Amino acid sequence: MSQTLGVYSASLSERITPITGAFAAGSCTHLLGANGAGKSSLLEILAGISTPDSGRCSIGNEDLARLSLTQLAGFRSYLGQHSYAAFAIPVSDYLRFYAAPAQPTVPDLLEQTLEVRHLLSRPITALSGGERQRVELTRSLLQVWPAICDGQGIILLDEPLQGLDVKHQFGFLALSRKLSGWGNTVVLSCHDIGLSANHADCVWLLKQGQLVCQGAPREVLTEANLYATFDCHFAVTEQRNFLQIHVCDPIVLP
Amino acid sequence: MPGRGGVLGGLGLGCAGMVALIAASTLASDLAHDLKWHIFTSLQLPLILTAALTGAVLTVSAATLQVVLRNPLADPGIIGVTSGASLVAAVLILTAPVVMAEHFYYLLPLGCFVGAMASTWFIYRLARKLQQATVAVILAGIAIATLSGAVIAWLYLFSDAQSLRNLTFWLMGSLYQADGTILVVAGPIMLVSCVVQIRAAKALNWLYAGDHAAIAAGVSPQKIIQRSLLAASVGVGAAVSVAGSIAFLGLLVPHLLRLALGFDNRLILPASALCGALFLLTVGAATEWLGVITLPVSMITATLGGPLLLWAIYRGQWR
Repeated sequence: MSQTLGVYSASLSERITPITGAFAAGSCTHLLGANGAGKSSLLEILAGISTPDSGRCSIGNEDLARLSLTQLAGFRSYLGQHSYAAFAIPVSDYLRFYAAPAQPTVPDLLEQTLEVRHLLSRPITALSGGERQRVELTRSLLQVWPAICDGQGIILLDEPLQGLDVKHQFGFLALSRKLSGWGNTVVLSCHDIGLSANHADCVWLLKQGQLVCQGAPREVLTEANLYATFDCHFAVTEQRNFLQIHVCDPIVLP
Repeated sequence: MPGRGGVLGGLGLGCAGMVALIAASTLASDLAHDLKWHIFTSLQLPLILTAALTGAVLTVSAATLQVVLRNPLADPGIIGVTSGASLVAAVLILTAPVVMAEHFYYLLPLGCFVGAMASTWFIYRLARKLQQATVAVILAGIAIATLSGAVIAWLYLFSDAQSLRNLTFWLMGSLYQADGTILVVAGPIMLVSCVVQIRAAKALNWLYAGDHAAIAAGVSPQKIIQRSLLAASVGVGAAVSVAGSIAFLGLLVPHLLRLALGFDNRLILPASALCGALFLLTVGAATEWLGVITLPVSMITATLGGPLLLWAIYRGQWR
């Protein structure tokens, strides 16, 4: 039994104007849009971190607002954009505090893609930006790992690729497809349209707090839709079943 | 490394040993049995309770404040919670009309609590507003402490000799000022404050990665922070009302414990409480055996604490 995530005309102050849509269970959805388009706000609403001013969200048949934070914490993973570090906590402790009691150690699949085991003894304050991001990703997934293994997880990640090197970007994208393949609902925001075009089951294009369009990458990521979303001209080509998207009219400064 | 039970058990045994040592200083003497018993119940029992409870509540509150304000420098003394409480205490002692004297036992803890709450609330608002600027919070605390010091100095100028004597212990801290009546009011408050804070330890662990991570992990940071701050300031207010302002303990103990035991608040908070109690009980035992009745506590905590803290910083995490 997997869980579909729905939003029904949810709005949040000036950041999200009423949005309606659904994220199918077992799919990996990428949210695309310019800075301030409402990607983070939408993820916060879906995660139950921000309460929408109007409208509502649902998980399966359940109203999100009716689930307690403790219930949500058992199957909903959320990663925000900002990380804090006031204390030089060793990575192993940091992960252990948040890990599901049934999964205190880093599972092999996460280790293969995010490679954090060699960082376990280091303090989080001593990590590079990309290393820290890998630890944060591990932390957020570890919290609900048992639910993820059952295909019951809801995984919401705000710019999970930020700071990752190429190898770990592709490792993580493969992981996100794998997890959604198990039946989990994966929603993440991304700034690399080219990566999203080839690694998402579904993309949402957002602009100024509104949904421009959504659907399979091949249908949605057209030159017209991309121009409407980003105010840049793009060239979309397909080579050997691989979608290539480039900015073709770069901004020229006077 | 010994486990959680080993560490806490060891510290608990240490505390029990110190209590026995304090009791032994009287019970082993060659006074008459009645007199021994009288000294023990009316002088030493208050000393033991004061030392154990204020030591525990000051250190556990400091450990909580450090996590909640995301600042390893937070300490009731440094961020002005203690000074807020002592200021109100000083104002009450120096200016309260004589008719109120008989209600002092209740008035004083209440006043200290109000002072501690006011400065905690101010610091909390400031810390929330200046998410990244942890230094500003410390500076604001220093400003509050300086202001309280200045007001107390002004009061000094206009006070008579007896009031000044009463006041002095507030500024230096003393384990001998409290009597049974004030302990009956403040003791349970300190105990409850410690228990509430230690019970929040698991949720405090979830604050390490920020507010959103705490919500994701299943706890509302607003709720847990406000509850912990309330418990800490009530506890510190009560501690100030029985023992005056005791410097430094809260900064030193949790910091050393984190170096030795890691960052798990489920261990650090109870261990801090026991360590703080052990430290003040040791001070109490030393003064009992040395016979120096009026040793101000802050003198000892600062003399030992200063060098220890410098060593800890040199060894430790603030690089």
